[in-house]
Amino acid sequence: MKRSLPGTLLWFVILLVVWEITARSGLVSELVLPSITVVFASFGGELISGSLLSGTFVSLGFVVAGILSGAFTAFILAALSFQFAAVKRLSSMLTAVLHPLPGIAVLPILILFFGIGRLTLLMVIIHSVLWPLVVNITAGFSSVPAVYQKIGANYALKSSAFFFRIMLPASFPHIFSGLKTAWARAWRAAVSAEMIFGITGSGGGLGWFVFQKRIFMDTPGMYAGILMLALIGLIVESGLFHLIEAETLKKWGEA
Amino acid sequence: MSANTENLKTPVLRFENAGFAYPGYSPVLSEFSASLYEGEIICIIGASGCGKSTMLSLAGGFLLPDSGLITDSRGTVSGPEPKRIMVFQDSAQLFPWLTVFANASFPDADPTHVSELLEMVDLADAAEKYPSQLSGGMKQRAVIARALAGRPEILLLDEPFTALDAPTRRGLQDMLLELNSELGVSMMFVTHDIREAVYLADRLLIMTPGGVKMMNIELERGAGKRDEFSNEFVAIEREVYGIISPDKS
Repeated sequence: MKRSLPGTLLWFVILLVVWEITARSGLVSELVLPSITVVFASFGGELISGSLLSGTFVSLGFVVAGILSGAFTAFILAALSFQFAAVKRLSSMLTAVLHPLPGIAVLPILILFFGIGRLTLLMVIIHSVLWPLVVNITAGFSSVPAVYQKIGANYALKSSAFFFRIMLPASFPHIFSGLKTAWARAWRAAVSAEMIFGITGSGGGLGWFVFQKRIFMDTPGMYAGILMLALIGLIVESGLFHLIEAETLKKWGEA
Repeated sequence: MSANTENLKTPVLRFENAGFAYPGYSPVLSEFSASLYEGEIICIIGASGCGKSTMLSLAGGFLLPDSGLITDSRGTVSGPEPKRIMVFQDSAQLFPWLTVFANASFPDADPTHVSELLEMVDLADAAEKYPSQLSGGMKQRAVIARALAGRPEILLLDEPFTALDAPTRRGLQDMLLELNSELGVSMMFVTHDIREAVYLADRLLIMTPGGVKMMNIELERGAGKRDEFSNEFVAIEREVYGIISPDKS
């Protein structure tokens, strides 16, 4: 269904008004639900102080590093699965077992192996993105029309040229879908891990920022952090992915 | 050799006692010899399942003969290559992520030649469009432009116009005849439509369960030159029909 921007904005304003009325009515403690103006003031203050932005960049840095590492591994696994039946069986088994496991569920195991620290957080993110990417890239490779193989053979394309000029773009709809899932899982996993374990320690990410604000009962600051989480999600999912989709799949008639 | 083939210079593809059978099935070809000449159009026709596409795949090097030889201007055909380019039966041969121009240039055709070809197939105005924005006829024209962009010696077409309506088909048949005349590219064209085959071909290669028969078409060939309602045209159609379906003629 096509989203209407004015309709969405109207609902957003209504929710803010309801929030403000509830906060000002005194029915709920300001430690639980501060006024929206106070939250915005805190958001601005944290932005100016730099702590909100530094937390955002730390979390985004982890997520990007995790997605790149996961995507690299997923491509290798999917390519090997495409070539070798034995690897395909191994990949299918691993995906069936590990794909349903939330990143947070494997965190205790990773802490045992790697301790509490940045490497563990990175591994959680890699786990979160690897399996949906493997599933989607494998599906993408398998869905490349057989006639493309013949066209590649007819033009005597080398394997690398066939991969980069035909296989990869032909698989792009699946890969893009995998990337969207990977981003969503990675972002949630990173923030959750930071919130639950605070494992990035000093100089932590956005999850750690929210976690600290809650511990010190800086409720407006906590909401400011959550607002930033929502904003980043909105920018990436409705902005970046939307833009990529408009420039690729929609133009190609595959959206 | 017919009047049409007498002027043709050199063979660009030869089947020499070629035989082929899919494992466990009767031979599609046995001891088959024929040549495709420079600039010639041979239409391959026959009942469904008689091996028309197999014949084309052998010519393209996608299949290799069990016995005998298939040779082109460079020697024995041992696999597919860009000088023998195939237009496959599949309707989705254009890459959806590339514009018409980029598709026609694939993989590395001369851009000037591609522009000329797009003019010839009347797609110059659609060069920056994506395949999803094209009609069925435009897609097939783009496919043919891509096939010709690498300056192949032989164009192998496997029922390329089957899914199109009659007026679009006629337009594309005339376009193909013009391309053949201007570029001199030889063509093997598989079709199940006798009228299309008689309209296009210098010679027909008629495949029947009893074997392969070659037939010259003694009518002047060219875009719009053969009148499908003329007595001569209809007589050839009937003769071909009689060969393909002797029980029904």
